[in-house]
Order: sequence, then structure tokens, then C-alpha cells
Amino acid sequence: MTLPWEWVVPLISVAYLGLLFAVAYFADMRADQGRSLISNPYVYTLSIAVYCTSWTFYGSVGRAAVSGIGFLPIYLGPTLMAAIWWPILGKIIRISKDNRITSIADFIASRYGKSRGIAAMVTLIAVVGIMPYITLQLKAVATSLDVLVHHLEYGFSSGHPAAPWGDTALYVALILALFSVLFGTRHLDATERHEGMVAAIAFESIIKLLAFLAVGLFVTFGLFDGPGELFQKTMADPKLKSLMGFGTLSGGYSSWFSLTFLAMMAILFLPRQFQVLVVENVNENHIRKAAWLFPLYLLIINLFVLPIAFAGNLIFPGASADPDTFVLTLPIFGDQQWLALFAYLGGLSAATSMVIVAAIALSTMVCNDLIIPAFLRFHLQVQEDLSGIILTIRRGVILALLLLGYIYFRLIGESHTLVTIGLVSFAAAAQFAPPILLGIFWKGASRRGAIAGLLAGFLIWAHTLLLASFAISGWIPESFLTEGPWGITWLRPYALFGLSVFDPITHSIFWSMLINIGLLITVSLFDRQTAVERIQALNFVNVFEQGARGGEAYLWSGSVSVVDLKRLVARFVGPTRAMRDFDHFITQHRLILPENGIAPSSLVAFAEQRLAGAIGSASARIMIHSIVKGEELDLEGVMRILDQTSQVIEYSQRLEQKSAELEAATRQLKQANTRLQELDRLKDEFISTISHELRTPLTSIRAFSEILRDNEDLPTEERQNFLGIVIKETERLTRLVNQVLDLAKLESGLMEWHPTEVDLAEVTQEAIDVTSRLFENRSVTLENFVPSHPIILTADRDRIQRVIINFLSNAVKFSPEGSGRVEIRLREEPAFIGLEVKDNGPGIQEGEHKRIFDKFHQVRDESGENKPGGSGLGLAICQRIVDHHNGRIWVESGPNLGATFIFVLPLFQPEKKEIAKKEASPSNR
Amino acid sequence: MNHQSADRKKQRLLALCIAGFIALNYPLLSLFDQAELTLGIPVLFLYLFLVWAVIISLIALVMETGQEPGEER
Repeated sequence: MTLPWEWVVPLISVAYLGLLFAVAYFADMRADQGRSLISNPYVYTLSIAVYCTSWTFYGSVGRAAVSGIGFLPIYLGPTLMAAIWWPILGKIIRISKDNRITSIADFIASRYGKSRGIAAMVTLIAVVGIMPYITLQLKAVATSLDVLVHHLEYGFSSGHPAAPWGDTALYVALILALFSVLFGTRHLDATERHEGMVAAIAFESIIKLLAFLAVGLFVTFGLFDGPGELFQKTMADPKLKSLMGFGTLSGGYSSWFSLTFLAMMAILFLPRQFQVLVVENVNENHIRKAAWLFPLYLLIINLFVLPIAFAGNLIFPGASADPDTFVLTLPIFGDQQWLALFAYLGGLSAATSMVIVAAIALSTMVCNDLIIPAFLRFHLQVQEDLSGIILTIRRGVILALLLLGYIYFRLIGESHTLVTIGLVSFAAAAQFAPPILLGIFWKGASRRGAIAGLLAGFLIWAHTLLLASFAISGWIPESFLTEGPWGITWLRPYALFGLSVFDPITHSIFWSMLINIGLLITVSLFDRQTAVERIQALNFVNVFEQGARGGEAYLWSGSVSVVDLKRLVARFVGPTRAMRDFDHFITQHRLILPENGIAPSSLVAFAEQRLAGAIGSASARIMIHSIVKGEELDLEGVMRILDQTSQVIEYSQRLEQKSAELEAATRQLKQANTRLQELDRLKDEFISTISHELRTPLTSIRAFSEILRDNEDLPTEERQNFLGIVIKETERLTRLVNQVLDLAKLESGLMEWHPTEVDLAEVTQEAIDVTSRLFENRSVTLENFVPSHPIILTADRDRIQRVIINFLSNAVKFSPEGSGRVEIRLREEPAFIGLEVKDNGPGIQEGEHKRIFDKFHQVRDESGENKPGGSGLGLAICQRIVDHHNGRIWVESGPNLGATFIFVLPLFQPEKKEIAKKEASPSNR
Repeated sequence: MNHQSADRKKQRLLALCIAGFIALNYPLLSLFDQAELTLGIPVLFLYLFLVWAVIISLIALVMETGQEPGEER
């Protein structure tokens, strides 16, 4: 090739930047027409990819070439953070929109009571922290340009480029400043959104991705025969083989961990990321897609990092080419000049997009939070239109920032690789994480806590990373590193307080985060928040709760006329815009306002917000303060609204609780109702059964009585017989009624119990005596195995006897006449006594075992004969008596095996008190 | 949409973030610290990119299912 590359490359660069101007201009035009190009999740995702700077484009390969996989945490961290963007970023965006927040400094200041001091501090930290990063991009562009031109011109024969080609970095800085000024500061916008800039950086994100992929594909498949061959050749080289594990990673796993953490914080809190993620966000719902599309972008752009790094190491063994420039040198080596040029444009895209966004974000902060407050201090009463001045300030700031970056570049020189400088900036941005993350979830975080944490964190960062890097560059004596400042060894920047187990970045992150978070929490816990702080804390933490906002309207209770307010806003945003915004607000809220009337507090709050969009919340507050006459802050008003808010919250919580209680009550009522219905049904059943049982004897009594009345001439013998039946039936009736009464008493708990010391053997013997007649009548033999020695327990004597009698009479009834055989025995166990009565009758089917203890349940023969003449209440009563004594009653039987009725009683009543209570309770009812 | 499913979504995302952090850090990572090739690709490289891809697909799954855009949060 004989092209004059020396001129072609810069020309193409400028042409490319011209193309960006065109894209941005077109997007701005579309935005003015109301047909936004950028209002979709895909452009949003691409704009977030401003995260991938020249550090990604050139530096990842450089790092991979010396430490293998070590470049990756910087991209894994953002993926992990993207997983929780929905809850965290979503909240930050909503807060920023509600409060018209336009920068990260504004966000933190606004959260902590619209404090001017904190805004200035955050701005300073951001500028000091990000400046090296901007320098890094200038350096990358200048180096890549020089390397490209040199190798295109001379190939690889003459070694490294001898001298920098002119002063490339200066021109780069100036051109980038021009671009940033043109699209970052076209007009003062309340939302500080820059559609043209977003479109341009989204476009650049596409270019850098394509360029990197093109180089990766060429290297992998053009210079090598696919990844298989490439990796195998790498494995064959013992030095490169070590890059495949963690052995070459400086700092090991702790460094891996801290880099992941650092990247998680950086993706949200680097000023440029905050700018694209929060300030330039069009619609919160775009997070939904960006949360996975952005990590996908990172994954794709990182796929070929290792192959390129390995290929570079294989092709340029030793250090014959700088690993940071492999992306350029490999295509040139493969004789693909145009591909190299494309790669260069990709790197240029990566660098310029970062510089532009960072410059705009920083200029907003510097202007709103440092310069305007100082300016207003001296020109508070100037009545002229300030919007033009503000824009001029911003433009000046952008230019100054880039020139500063250039000067820093000249000073720090070649001593640092791309990655190290980038990480230093990440660590500075991480200092913003505690005040923001704690601030949006914890109302208690206070201004003084945030200031203490930020300041301490920043100082530790500056000491352990920034000053240390100065020492490495030779600005300050190297003894600063090795012996500590002034020879104080425990202040050595890489081993603060003697802690020397970490690599420098991890070490700095550990100490700065520990102190930052620690101070923020501790100071907040012992602090008393002012009213503004409390209101802002509520606004931030409860941003998703309806009615949480509104406190600040009460902040201004002094008087100011509508016209004064309008004039103030006009000074900063221009008269036409101010007029339009005010008219809009007034019609929207249906306010009727005379020009010279007193502005309602809601209008004052609106004006403050409108100003905050232009000059930051802290300055806006001061400005409003300067024209509101009377008390600045009506504490009582503030407290009132705070109380109202908390009352409403408390009230709604109480409501929730009440409704939960109601639900529980309803459930209980339902259960009770079901139970009642069941009881009602049982009662009906009971009544119908009992009437039936009563009617049977009554019918026969009546029948026989009628016979006796009507037939006076009946023979005496027959008359006696009939009278006998009547008497028997009457007895049965009496028994039945008694049993029903007993059962009713038992069930209602009205039964009186008389527990005494009882000899069960004796009681059983008595029962046997009582029932002996029955056995004789049916010629059933009774085998008595009851021991003769006394068995003492506490029980109600009569009732227990009744159970035994019931068992015995049942046994007789069901035993076959003549051949019947009944056994009775007592079982003595250590803890309880059992009594069993066994017969040789027909037995009871399995399914009946439980039901025979139900009321009125009678066992019937299948044949229907041999119907026992019982009421069906006996066993039910027995069961209740045994239950009352804490015993158990059951039957063991099978068809044709006879039946054994058993009850067991505990020898010692377990809870005497319980029994006493049961005894006492009936009288209470 | 109700609060409960929105809360559930946030909890799922948080769990995913924590699980991802564990999968991508020591000690699990040390299992793959070997200079060997699997399917022609270094083991460590393969593991990291696979886990990465899985995390991305899970985020997509959680984010893109359930509620409609414009939901209450």
C-alpha cells in the first residue's frame, strides 16, 4: 500500500466524528418533532454500553495477555447488578424523575437535605476520580492512532513507533470537547436529557461491537484455524499455558471478588453510567429489556478477548508488540489494513463515547454544584437572564475538563497501563454507593453521616490509590510507598494499618468501603435529622407509595409574589420557557392567580423543581430562599405534614390489620356455623331416635292397659301376665329416661362427680354380684379372674361400677343362651389398670368398632333376630365416663370371635388440678 | 397487578444475583482452575461463559414473564 496513512487516518477519524454529528443532529431533529429515535429499550441498552470504553476495547486484551481470565470480573459484576436493576435502578429513576435530578451529585445532595456542601463534595470526588479515566481515553486514542499509522507505514520492521506523531492527544481532546459542547449544551433543559448524544453513543456502541467481533473472527479463523487450533497451540506453550488458570491473576481470588464488587458498583455509580442509566432514561420499563440485553452485549464483546490475547502472544512472542494494541497490530500483521482501520474506528468509538458522556455529566455537576453556587453568592440580585451565562459556563467546564485530562496525560505519561487507571476511577465511583443505596432504602441515613462516610472514603481512596500512583509515576518520592508518608509505616498506602494481605485495589476497596459504610451508619444513628432531611428521606424511601410526596410544598410558607417567582425562573431557563411552564402548571392545577398575588406553596415548590432541573437542587433552594420573604422553614408545617403522612401510613396499616382480623373472624364464624348446623342435625336425629325409643314401650303399655280396661273378665293369670309386661315396659321407659338424662348431663358438663379412693377389685365384685341374676336367667357361665387383693385408684365409684355392669349385661345379652361363656379379668400395669370382659357371642364387625360407642347405635344381627332390648345409650355413657377419668375404652372383636370390651384407667390421675377444674366448672356455668 | 407478584419478582431477581455471585467466585471457581481443554476450549473459560449465559437467560426469563409493561411496582 502506498496510501499516505499519515494523512488518511486522521482524515477518516474526523470524517467518522462528522458522521456522529450527523447521527446526533438527526436524532435531535426527530426529538424536536416529537418522534424520538431513542425511546426504545434497544437504544437504551446500547447507550448503557458506554460502559465499554477503550479500556474494554484495547485494555481487556492487554490484561488477558498477562493475567489470563483476570479481565472478566469487570463484566461479570455488571451482569450481576443488572439482575437487580429492576428493584434498585427502577427506584433511583423514579426518584430522579420526581425530583428532577440531573446528576449523581444532585441525587446525593437532594437525598441529604438538598445540601450544597455535599453536592460540592460529590462533584469534587467525581472530578478527581474520573479525570484519570478521561486521560486514559485520550491516551488510548492517541496511542492507537500512532501505532496504527506507524505500522501501516513501516510494517513491523522498525520496531516501536519512535516518537509520538505530533501532539495527537491535544487535537483529540479539542475535537472531543467541541463535540461534547455541541451536543451536551445546546439548551438548558429541565430534564437535562440529550437525545442527540444518546443516539450518537448508541451508534458508537454498535460500531465498537462490530469492529471487535470482526477482529476476533479474523484472528481466530483467519490467522488461525479456528479456536481449537488456537487454544491447542497456546497449551503447547508452557508460559501461555499458565494463563489458563488463576495462577497468573495478581491478588488471586480476593482480587477477583473485589473487582466483581467494584464493577457492580461502577455500572450504577460512575457519573457517566448514572447519566445514561438515570438521567437519559426515557421510560422506566426499558429496564426490563436492558437488564438482560446489556449483559448479553458484554458477553458478546468479551467472547474474543482471550483468543486475541493468546494469538497476540503466539504471534508476537516476548514483548515485540504492546498487548494493549494487539487489536490493531494483529490485522496489520495479517495484511488487512482496512480491517485494522475499522478496528481503530471501533476503539475510537469506545473512547469518544466515554469522554463525551463523562464530560457532559461532569460539566453539569461542576456547573450546578460548584460554579453557580459561588456565582450566586456575588450576583444574587442580578436581574438579567442567566440562562445564556449558564450555558457558557458549561461549555467552558467541558473544555477545561478535557484540557485537564490532556495535562494529566502529559504528566502521568506511560507509567500506567489502561486497566490500572480505570480501576482507580472505579474505586472512586464506588464511594457513592453507600450514600445512595442506603439512602434509598433507609430513612435514617443522615446528612452528617453521608458527609463523614464520603469524606473518609474519598481520603482513603486518594491515599491508597491516587497518591500511590503518583509515587509510582515519580511525582513524589518512592519512599512514600515503601516507608509510608513521613516514615510512618502504618500509613503505607498499600498496607494501611499494616494490612498487607490484599493487592492494592482490593486493599483500597476494603478500607474505604469499611470506613465509608461504617461512618455513614454510625453517625446517622447518633444524628438528628433536620426537617428538610426528613422530608427528603421520606420522599426517596417511599417513592413508590402513593401520597408519600408533597412534604416540600409546606417547606415554603413565607410569602412571595407570583411575578417574582416567574422572573426568577426566567433568569435561569429563559423567559419564554418559564412563561410556558408556569402557564402549563397553572392550568393543570386550575389555579386562579393575580400577577401580584401571593404564590401558593405548591407553585413555589414547582418553581424550585423547575430551577433544580437547570441549576441543581441545592442552588435552586438557595435561589428560592433569596426571594421568599418571611420564615424560610415553617417547622410546624413540616411536622404537620410529616405527622399526616405517618398517620396515613399508620392508619392504612391498622386498616390492613383490621381486615386481616375480620377475615380470621369470618373464618371462625364459618367454622362455628358449620359446627352448629352439624349439632342441629345431630339434635334432630337424637330427638327422632329418642321419640322412637320412647314410643315402643309406650305403645305396648298402652295396648296392654287398654286390653285390661276393656276385658274385665280376663283370667287372673293372664291379667297378671299383662300387668307384668306393663311394669317391665315402664321400667324400661324409666331406665331410658334416666339414661337420656345422664347423657345430657354428661354432655353438658352438668354431671356432678365424686372422686374417691376406690378399690376396683371390690367394685368389680359387687358388679358381678348385681348382674349374677342375669347370668343365671340365660344360663351363661361367668369366669371370674378378678384378683382378691385390693386395687386402689381415684375414681367416681358408682359411675365406674356402672361401666362394669354395662359391660357385663351386654356380654350376657349377646352370649348364646345355655352355651354362653363370659370372662372378666383385671389387668394391673405400673401406670394403669385395665378391665376386660370377654364373651363368646357373634362378635362385632370391624366397621362397627367405633360406632357402637355412638348414641343410639345398636348392633343388629344380620338375620334381624335376637334383637337386644337396649336403648343404645349404655356404651355412649360408658365412653363419656371413662373419658372423664382420662381413660380409654374400646372393643376388640371380629365376626364369630366373640367380643372383648376393655377400658383402662390411669392409676394416678395425671392432673388433679384439671379434674378439680372440671368439677368446679359446671357450677360456674 | 398486585403487590405480591411484583414483590415475588424482586425476590427472584435478588436470589438470582446472589446465586450468580456465588457461582462466579471462590471457592466454586477453584474447581475449574485447571489448564485443560474441554471441547477444545479452556475449562475455566468455558465454565465462566456458560454460567454467564445462564444468568443472562434467567434474568430474561424473570423480566419478560408475568406482568405487562406499565405495571405497578
